[in-house]
Amino acid sequence: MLGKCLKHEWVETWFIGLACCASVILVSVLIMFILPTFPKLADSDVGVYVLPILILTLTIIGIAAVAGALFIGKYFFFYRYYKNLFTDQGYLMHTLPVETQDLVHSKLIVALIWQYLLAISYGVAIFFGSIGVYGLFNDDFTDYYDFLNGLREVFGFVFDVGKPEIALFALCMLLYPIMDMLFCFLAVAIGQLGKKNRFVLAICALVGISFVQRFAMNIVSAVSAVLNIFFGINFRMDTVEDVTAQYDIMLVLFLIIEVVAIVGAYLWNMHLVKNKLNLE
Amino acid sequence: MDQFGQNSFNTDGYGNPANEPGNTAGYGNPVSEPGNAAGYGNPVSEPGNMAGYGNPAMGQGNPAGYGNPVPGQNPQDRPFMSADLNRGPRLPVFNEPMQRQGEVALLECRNLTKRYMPNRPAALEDINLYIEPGHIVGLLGPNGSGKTTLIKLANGLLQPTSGEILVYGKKPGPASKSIISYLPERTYVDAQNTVAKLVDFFADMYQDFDENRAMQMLAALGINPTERLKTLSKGTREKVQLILVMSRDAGLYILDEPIAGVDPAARDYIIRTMLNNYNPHASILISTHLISDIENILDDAVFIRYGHIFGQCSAERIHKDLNMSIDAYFREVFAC
Repeated sequence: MLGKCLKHEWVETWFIGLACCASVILVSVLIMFILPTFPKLADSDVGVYVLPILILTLTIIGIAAVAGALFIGKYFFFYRYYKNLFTDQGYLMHTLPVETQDLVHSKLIVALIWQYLLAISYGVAIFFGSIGVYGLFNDDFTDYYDFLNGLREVFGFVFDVGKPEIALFALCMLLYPIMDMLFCFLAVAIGQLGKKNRFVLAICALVGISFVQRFAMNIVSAVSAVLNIFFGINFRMDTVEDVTAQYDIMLVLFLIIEVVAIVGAYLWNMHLVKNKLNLE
Repeated sequence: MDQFGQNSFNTDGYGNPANEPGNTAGYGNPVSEPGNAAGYGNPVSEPGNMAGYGNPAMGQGNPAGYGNPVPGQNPQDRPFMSADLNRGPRLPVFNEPMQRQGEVALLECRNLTKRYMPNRPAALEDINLYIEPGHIVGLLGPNGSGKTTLIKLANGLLQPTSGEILVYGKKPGPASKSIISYLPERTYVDAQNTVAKLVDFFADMYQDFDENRAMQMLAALGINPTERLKTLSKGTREKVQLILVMSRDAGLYILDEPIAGVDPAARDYIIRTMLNNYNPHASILISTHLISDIENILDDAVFIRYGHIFGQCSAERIHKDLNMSIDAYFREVFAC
């Protein structure tokens, strides 16, 4: 039945996910095409008046698209989990002939698919946006190649630290949305235990959980630096090796925290949904 | 204790247990008892019973009310009366649990207790209930008596504090949910969806869902399947939900206030729908306050109060022995 749950969850959510991804990409494409016209516009008579307005408008649209997609992409699934399982609709969902796990898994999988697609959309948007920015003053993209080279100089060390570190980093990045979404689900499951204002309680629970998670991550950063000392590596991190060692410890600890958080949030959430369901 | 391991009535500790001497039948004075000619049990249409249901306690020839103990009889030997609860006039409280016919009951509660908070009174306490296939059972009781809690437990929406509830011998889970067709008392479908989309959803999720039957019923009630639920009136939404629920060939239909929000004309259609569309080997458990509307289709009635099974019997028992409607009986037994 997981397949059927997935199908219906997808049907009910695809338009929001697609809208988030599309809005980010469309805005970046818009920027890509509009920005190169700015130099010519600046030379015109009306440019002095129009250009600031245009820049302001584009900036607002860009920020709204990026922040909006980020916000909606996360909180839509947060709210949907609440509405679909813990309000009146829960009377239908929890009496379907499916396991509770199927309900939760279908929502988690679909939400994660859109989180990853949204992340890819941001990557695509950055690509289009940067073409617009660096294609401003000439058509042969010389500036754009310079921009890419500049990026390599700044972030090149990432590629120098070694494959294990890159794999660890990628794993951390892949697990983060899972942890993040499970925190959302757990917060909703905690919030529904209340008698009134359950959604507000869920938001409060999410803020609390996020605070604990960030606090733990910061502690880990500090602890990894301290551990570095015990590994006998230069604490000042003057060399790439020093940075790599620090990076290794931090990534491993982040990974442990993420795995523990994912397992804990999942089990706690499942316990609450199965045994502490509190429909209105 | 009876064969089911519980007192046949009086589970809340009031009055005589069923097996006490002088109370073998478990109910009160029969209608034909001397001195009760004009007492409760008069059909509504009978002369001298203009009140609509049952005569009040001042009934001629029965000034003390229905079910008075015979003068001189040991009070402990008299049958259990609703008046033993210090509420309302005296009426017999039947307690005749459905007899187990097969190996496995359709719905079975064994010492079922549900307590929402540890130090608060139980919403349901020590409930023992059997529902066999082929019965239409009314789950009746005043507000806050525990009806919805019992229904939620049967549907796996709540977990029992102690005891167990079984559907075809299985604890609530995907298997039991595939047998139960449940209509809650609230709108439980997404109002953004069209009716047709909901029909598709039910057809996809329930193997026993009959899409053609649903479409026929929608057409009969003049409901356009392409309309979104949010554009429909509350009553029409309830009709749609009931159609979805009754379009399944389920083993047990649990309907919580199925006709509360619909007009009287539609109620008749809905009740006919219930009768025409349910599998004869299935059972329907109906919880409602609109007893008079559904009592003609009830085979059995289970009365629940303060989380206890207060009484249960066949509808025929009330109609024949008391010569009164279940609605009238309910109003008297649960009179405030």
